[in-house]
Amino acid sequence: MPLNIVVLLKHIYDENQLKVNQSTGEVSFQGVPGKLSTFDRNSLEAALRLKQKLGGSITTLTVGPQESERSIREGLAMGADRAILVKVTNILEMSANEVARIIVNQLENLQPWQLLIASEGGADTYTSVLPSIIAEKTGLPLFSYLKSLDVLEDGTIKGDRALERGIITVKGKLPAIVSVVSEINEPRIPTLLQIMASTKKELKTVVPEEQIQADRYFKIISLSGKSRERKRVIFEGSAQEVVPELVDSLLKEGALP
Amino acid sequence: MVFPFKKLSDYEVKFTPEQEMFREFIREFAEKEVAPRVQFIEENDQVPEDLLKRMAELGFQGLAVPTEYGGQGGNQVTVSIFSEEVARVCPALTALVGVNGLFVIPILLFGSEEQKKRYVVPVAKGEKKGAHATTEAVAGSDVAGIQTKAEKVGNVWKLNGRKAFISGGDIADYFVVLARTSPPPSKKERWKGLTFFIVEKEAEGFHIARQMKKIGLKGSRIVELQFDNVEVPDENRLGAEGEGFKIAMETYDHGRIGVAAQALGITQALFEKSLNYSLQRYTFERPLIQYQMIDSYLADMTMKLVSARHLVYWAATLADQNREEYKFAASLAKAYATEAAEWAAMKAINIYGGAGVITETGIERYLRDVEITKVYEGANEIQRLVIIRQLLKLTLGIDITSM
Repeated sequence: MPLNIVVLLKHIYDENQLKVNQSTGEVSFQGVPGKLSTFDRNSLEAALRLKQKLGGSITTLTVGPQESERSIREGLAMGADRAILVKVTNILEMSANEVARIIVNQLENLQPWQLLIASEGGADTYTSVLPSIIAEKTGLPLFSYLKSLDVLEDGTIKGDRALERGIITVKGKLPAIVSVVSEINEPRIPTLLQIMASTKKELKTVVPEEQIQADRYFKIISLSGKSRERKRVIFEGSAQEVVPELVDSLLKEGALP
Repeated sequence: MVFPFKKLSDYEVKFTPEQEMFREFIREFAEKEVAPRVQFIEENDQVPEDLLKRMAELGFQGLAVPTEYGGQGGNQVTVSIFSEEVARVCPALTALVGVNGLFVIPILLFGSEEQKKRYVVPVAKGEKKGAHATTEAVAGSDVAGIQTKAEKVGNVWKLNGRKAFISGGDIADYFVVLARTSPPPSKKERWKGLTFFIVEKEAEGFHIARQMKKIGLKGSRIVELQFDNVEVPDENRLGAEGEGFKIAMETYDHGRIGVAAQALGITQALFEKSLNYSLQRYTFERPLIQYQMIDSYLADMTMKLVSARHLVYWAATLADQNREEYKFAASLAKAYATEAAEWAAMKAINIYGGAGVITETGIERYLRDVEITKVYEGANEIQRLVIIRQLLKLTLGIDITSM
C-alpha cells in the first residue's frame, strides 16, 4: 500500500544563536540565522523510512515567512518529493490554534493522504500542542510522542509512545496523525547530488485562504531570556557517604520524583 | 587595471544556497561522526573502516567527479567547502579523501573512455580507493627528476623503481604511477619522456615496501611502493607517451586548492579554540582576553583566517570558471593558507600555554598536521616560483625560464 505522507516542517530562529541582553533579558532576533526546527528532521526521517518500505510520496507543509524556503529546501534535499509553504509574516505571534487552522485547510487540498507526521514540538516555542489540535479538527486518531513507528501493508499503524513514566505500545488504522520524539531515529545527511537535485523539486508558495484572525485566547505578554545559575555543590567523601547526601539534596530541590 | 587582474569583479566570490546547505551538512557530519573518533585516529594512526565506508556512502570520494562517472557532480568550490569543514575537525581525513582526487583527476582529464569507466566510476562511488604515485625519495616537487622506469616489451610496459611518500598507498586498490619511458632529449628538456600508467594493487611485482612514520596527519598513512618488473598493458597507459609531466602539473594545480582549504579549516579550528579559551581562562584574576598581547594574537589570527578564506574560495571560483589565472591564485592560496595555519597553531600554543603542548587538548596536533600541508602538493617555495612565473606569463607574456 503506497502511502501519501504529509510532514510538518517549521523554520525557526537558530536557538543557539539568539542574543539575550544580559541585564534586561531582552531577546534580539536581529541577524539571527534561521534553521529547520531540529526535531522536524526526525519527523521527515520517519516519513522517508516508511516511504522506502511502502512506496508513495512525501509532501512537506510549512507555515511561515518567505525565509522558510531555506529549511524547506533542506527537507527536499533529505528526500521529500514536494513542498508547500503557506506564507505568513508573523508566525511567532500566532497561536498553535491559528497555525493548526491554516494547516487543516491545506490538508483538504492535499487529499488523498493517509498519514501526517509532526515532531514532538518546535525547537523554538515547544508548545507541543499542534498535533493534538490538528487531530481534533480533522477528527483523526492521534499517536503522539512515538519513539518507534511502523505501518503495515494493510494500513495498520503501530508505535511506542515515550512518556515520562513509561512506554505505551499503541496500534490503530490509518489515516492518522502522529508526533515523534527525537530518539525515534538519526536523521540522514543528504549527498551533494541530492542537494543539487532538490533545487528541481516543486516548492509551492500559497497565501492562507482565510484572513488570519487574532486568537482571543492567546497573547504574548513578554518574551525574555532566562539565565540559569548553577549551584556548584561539591560533595566530598567516599561514594558510600556521598550518594545518600546527593540523593537527599536532589529530593530537597525537587529534582527527583 | 587592478594589477595583475583587469577588473575588480575578477576578485568576486559568490556562493549558492545549495553550497551553504552542503556546508552545514558537512559540519554536522564532521562534528557528530568524526569528532568522537579523532582521538582514536590520532592514537592508532588509522581511520576506522566504518568511517571510511560512511564517507564513501555520502559520496565524498567522488565529490568533483561528473555524475556520468558515478560522482556527485560538484566543483572546486564544493570540494573546498568539504576540505575546510572536515579539516576543521580532522585534517587527516581531508588528506585521505584528497588522494582519491589525485587518482581520478588525471584520468578524467587525459584518460580514455574505457579507463574512466573502469577506474573512475568505482573510486567515485567509494567501492574502490585510488592513490597517486609520482614522488620518489630523489624527487618530489622536481617531477622530472624521477627515476622509476617503464620499458615497452611487445604490447606491455615493464615498470621498475620505487615510489615514496605515497598517501593512502597502503589502502589503495588502484594507482596512477609516473615513470620515465625515454631519456630526456637534453638537460633543458628533462620534463620530456615521462608517462603515466594505471596500476592495480594485485599486479605481480608490485609491493608496499614499508610504511614511513611521520609527525602529523595521523590516520592518513604514507608508504613506499616497490615495482619489480610490474607488467602494465598498453591500454593502461594514461594519456599519450611522454605526456606525463603535463598531466602531473595539471593535476597538482587542482589538488593544491584542496590543500589550501584544508589549511583554512585548521586555522578556523585554532581560531575558535583560542578565542574560546581566552574568554574562559583566568590568570591573575582576569580572563586572558583582557591582555593586549593575547588580543593582538587573536586579531592577527582573525586577519589571516579571513584573508585565507577569501584566497581559497577565490582560487576555487576561478578554477570553476576555467580561468587561466586559477593556477596563479591556487599557488597564492596554498602558500598563504598553509603558512597562516602554521602561525595560528604556534600562537594558539602560546595562548594555551602548557595546555597547548599536551596531546589531550588537541592543539599541538594541528601544528604537526600543518607542517605537512606546507610541504605536499608542491612545497611552498615552489608555490612562490609558480606565483611569479604565472604572474609574468599572464600579464606580460614572459616565460622567465627561457630568458
